[in-house]
Amino acid sequence: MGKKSFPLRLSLNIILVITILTIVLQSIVSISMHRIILTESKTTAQYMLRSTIKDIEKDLLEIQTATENASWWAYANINNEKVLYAITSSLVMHNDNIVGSAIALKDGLHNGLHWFSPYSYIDSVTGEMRQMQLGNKNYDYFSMQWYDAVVKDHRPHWSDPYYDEGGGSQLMVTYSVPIIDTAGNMLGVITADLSLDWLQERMNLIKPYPNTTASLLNDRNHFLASSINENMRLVDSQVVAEATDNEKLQELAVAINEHRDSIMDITLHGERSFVVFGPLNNNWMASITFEYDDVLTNASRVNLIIILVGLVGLLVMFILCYITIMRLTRPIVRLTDAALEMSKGDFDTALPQIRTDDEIMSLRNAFDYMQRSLKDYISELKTTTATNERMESELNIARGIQSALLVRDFPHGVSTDADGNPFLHYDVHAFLEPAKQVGGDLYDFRIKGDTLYFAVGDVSGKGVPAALVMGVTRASLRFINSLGFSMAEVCERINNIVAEGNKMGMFVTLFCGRINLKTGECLYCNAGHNPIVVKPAGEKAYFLHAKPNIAIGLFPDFKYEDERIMLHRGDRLLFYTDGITEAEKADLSLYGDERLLQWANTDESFINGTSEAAVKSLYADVKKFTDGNEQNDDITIMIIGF
Amino acid sequence: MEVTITKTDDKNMVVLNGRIDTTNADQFMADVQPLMQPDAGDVEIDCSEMSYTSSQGLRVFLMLQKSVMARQKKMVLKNMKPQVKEVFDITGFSNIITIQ
Repeated sequence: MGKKSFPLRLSLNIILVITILTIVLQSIVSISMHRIILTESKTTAQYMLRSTIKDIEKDLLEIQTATENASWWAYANINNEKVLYAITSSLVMHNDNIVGSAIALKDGLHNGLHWFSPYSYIDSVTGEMRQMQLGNKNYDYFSMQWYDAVVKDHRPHWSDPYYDEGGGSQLMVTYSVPIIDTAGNMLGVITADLSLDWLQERMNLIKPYPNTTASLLNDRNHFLASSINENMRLVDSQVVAEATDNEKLQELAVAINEHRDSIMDITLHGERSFVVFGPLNNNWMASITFEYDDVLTNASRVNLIIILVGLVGLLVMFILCYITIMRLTRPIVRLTDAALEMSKGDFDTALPQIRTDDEIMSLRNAFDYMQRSLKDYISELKTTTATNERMESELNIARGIQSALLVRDFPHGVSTDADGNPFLHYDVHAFLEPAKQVGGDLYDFRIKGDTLYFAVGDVSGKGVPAALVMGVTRASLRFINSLGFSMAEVCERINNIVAEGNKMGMFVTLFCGRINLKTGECLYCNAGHNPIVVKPAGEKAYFLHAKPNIAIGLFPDFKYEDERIMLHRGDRLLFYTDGITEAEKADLSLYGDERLLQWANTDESFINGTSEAAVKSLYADVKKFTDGNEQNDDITIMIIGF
Repeated sequence: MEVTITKTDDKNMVVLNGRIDTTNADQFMADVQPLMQPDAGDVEIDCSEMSYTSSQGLRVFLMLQKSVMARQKKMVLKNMKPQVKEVFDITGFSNIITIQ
């Protein structure tokens, strides 16, 4: 998976937040909706129960009224067999719900017969009405519940449900009404049979939801009808409840037994349900059971629709978010491209135009400012670099010029001794290494006749200022030397030239002299320069502590003094500047006088070799000492062998 | 390199501490500017803690000396270490600067 783009990430984040919000809101709505629907459903269920009860009561009332009226009619015609048959037929015929009707007279009332019972019924096979006399020894109605119960209290009764084998041959309940004379004696019973199929149909019709069931029980808890299962008819509900270990069902059975009017939550066969139940006016009980899942089906469906719509909404929102953010961030992408172009050095890259006055506009403006600043800076840098390069180049030229001022043509002369053997009469070599491009050290020499003129000097400081003074000194030296003055006079004149207008306090230490190559007489003047090293042939080297006078340039008109020394065959003179003795190691220790003297006493090339070899050897020794540390002062070495 | 200047009446007591070399000669020059003012008095420099001076350092002493002379005052360098004194001697600075 590659890295996600900013618009994608932002869109995903937004959608994530919205999704979480939606889920929370949806849950709240869903829970509230469930509660409301359940409350509504329970109210509706109770209305439905009451309406069912009212309907059944109304139908039962018709049957009861008809039967009770017929009872009076039967009493009036108790001795007329034909009319008694007609009464039963009339009841069956005029009441759709009555499938059979009988008048059962008491023992001996009709012509002394033990049983007399005219009976009309609808043949359950053909559907036609038939008449028959019911009572006989095989059908002893005196022991039947529908007769017996009425005899006991002379009041109408609904029987328990039973399967009638004598007449209708079907499940039925019978309503029995006593036939009583004016004196209050009971003459018999008139009945109306009610088919349980009819009640069953009514129960089956109560189907607001697929799994809703309705049941009707009589006052002794026997099922009259139930849409749960029609085989439950005749069964005692108390027995059914006790056979289960469902405490709620047992509780329900008790409530029904007590003819309460109520509503109860219950779990049946694993389904959470609620039951509404209540009594009819004849003490029968009606109950309707609703499964929660059924009731909430619509709510669940609505939930599902909301979720689906929500998902589609989220998808649409994601796409819109992504497109919008893409559009909003496109300037940033273009700015990025422009920045990349700029990084390649193209500072004229056009920045994208931003029309919105917002942070992106600020960014673009900042970018614009940066671009212009960079452009200016680069241009300035180019100028500076060019200037530096020019200065560098000028300094290099200056170095060349300064270097050219130094004599490279090192003189040496060969003579023959008294025995005619040739020997190196004089041998001069020098080396100068400035610390920067140009420096303030100088050396010079030249041969004029039998005289070797020489000088070593060091201008205070280094770099260009020192180089300028060095140039003046070198030119003055050359010119004045040629006029045949003593060395002290040379120094005095140079001193006056340099000291004149020397506001910057620059000064030069100078050691200059001349050697008569024939006699070995060396006349010199020291203007504040380092003591030179003298190595007489076959003797120890020593520092020549010449009178210092003062450095050139300090005060005009100073009186310098000449000094003399006699040189012999094989003597060596070593001139140097403080770049040698003050050459520094990394630990700040200095090369120093002692080391220099030791070198002069031990170095073979200095004692016996050529000046050139000796100069190289000393420089190498100094370099070895500083061990790579940066050279911080000009270095000059000059060696004269005599 | 540290320069401590204490001004008393018509005299500047100066204490130098450390090395004067290429890297700090310009700073040394700036530090002693107060001693080159036209109204600055005599200058007495304690060099007991000065361990080294390069030719750039000498140049500053020269500028100081010229400045002091120009305003007709006196400058004295005191307690100088032998190796430092040697530099002053070699270059002839001892001839123009009072070293005690």
